[in-house]
Amino acid sequence: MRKPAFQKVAAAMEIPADLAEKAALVELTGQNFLRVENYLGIIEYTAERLLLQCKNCRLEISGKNLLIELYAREELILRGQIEQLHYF
Amino acid sequence: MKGELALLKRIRLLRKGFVKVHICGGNYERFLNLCANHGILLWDIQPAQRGYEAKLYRKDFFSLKPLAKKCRTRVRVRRKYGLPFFLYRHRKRKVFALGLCFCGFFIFFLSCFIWNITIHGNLSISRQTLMEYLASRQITYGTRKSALDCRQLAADLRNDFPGIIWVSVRLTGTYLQIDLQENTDRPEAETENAPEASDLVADADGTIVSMITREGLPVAGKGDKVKKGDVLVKGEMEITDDADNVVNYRYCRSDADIYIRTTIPYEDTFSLAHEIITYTGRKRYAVYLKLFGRYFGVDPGLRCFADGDIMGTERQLRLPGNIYLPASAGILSAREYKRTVVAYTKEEAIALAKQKLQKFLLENEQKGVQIFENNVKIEVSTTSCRAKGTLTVIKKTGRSVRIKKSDFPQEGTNE
Repeated sequence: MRKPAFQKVAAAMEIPADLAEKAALVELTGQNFLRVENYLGIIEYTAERLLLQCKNCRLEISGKNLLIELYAREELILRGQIEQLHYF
Repeated sequence: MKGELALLKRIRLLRKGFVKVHICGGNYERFLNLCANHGILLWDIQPAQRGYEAKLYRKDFFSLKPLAKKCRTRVRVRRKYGLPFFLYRHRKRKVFALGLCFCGFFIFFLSCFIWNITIHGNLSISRQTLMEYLASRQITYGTRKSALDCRQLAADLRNDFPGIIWVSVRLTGTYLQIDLQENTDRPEAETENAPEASDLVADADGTIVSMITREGLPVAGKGDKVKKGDVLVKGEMEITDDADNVVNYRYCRSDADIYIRTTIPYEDTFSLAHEIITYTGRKRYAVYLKLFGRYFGVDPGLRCFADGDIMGTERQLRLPGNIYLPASAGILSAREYKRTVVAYTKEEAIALAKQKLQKFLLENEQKGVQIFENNVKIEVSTTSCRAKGTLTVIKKTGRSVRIKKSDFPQEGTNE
């Protein structure tokens, strides 16, 4: 019961979801540049697919020639031909 | 800006040193996550040969061992980049390191002096005059930068050259740049230096075609024939009483625009035989280095040609950021030619004589002389060509001549 109440307070104070709930923050620039924040880790990575574990969901990025340009605790920068983003 | 940031990032990477590793075996996704959680920065991760390739800082590489052991992965170094590896590889080359340090120190030492001076915007004041002025103030090639006060130099330039209305002195690196602007609307020097009381006299024989007097007493008029030395405008005006007796004189600096029609002689003779130069195509090159005013280089026989010319280009060496060095590099090229004596044909000689006459007329027109009539005849003999005759021109006349003042007290003064 505590979680919905906290979410209500956060919504009332208009705190963004990426701060309040640590929701994944995805910034997509064009088709070739993707920046992800608030993720927990990599589950699978190939040149065609990157599967990330986020706090509340999983994020699958499909494409071609995917290259992780930067991988740190805070952010991940991906380059390549991005074709699909899939949350599940 | 983006490019500069990328360059700075690259320099920082090379300074710290980084390695490209190949990660294979075991659970390598878990290995990547562990690296991120332990604060190890990875970049350029890409799948390669049943594993991944990634780059990481040199110091982070030594923290990988327990993580790799935990995930049962193998980490192999593929390539090393950066200054720490370079220094380690060349650790036994002490003289090289010493030379590198000396080179850096030498460049730093040289950057404390002025090695290039440029002057822009000077029209009537020549570069040589300004350079001599700078030299008199101990500012020349090789002067210490700390000894130069740009603001003071700009102020002194304005004071010592009254024709300069704006000056900017900038020192960038070892490069001293002086930009200035001269006053182009200054009155003519002749008027400034003209005597206090003066007549205007004719400086050539001719007929006056136009005369506008601004100051003084005109003694000639339009249509009058004058000879060289005749007074045209008097600067001495008599003041008479009722009985026409001179009681006083008033003096002024005569000023008038007087144009006379006069004739000027023209004669030009040249020989029909002349030399022409034909390049044979044989060339020789030499390179040289100029260091502190001394030349070093190899001369592969540039003067081997009996008839030849030598041309060269020289460039002062500089580092990025306007750091000019006291060194120049140049290339000399010698080209061989043959001299052949040929004679102008009659048509060629006439065309050349006309061309020379046109040049003479153009030079006169640029001086403000109007060409009224052209009586020059061109004659071609067997050995030479002669253009002779007279040109009737309309030109400005009037030369200031100082007047000897009489003993009368001048009007309007208490003398």
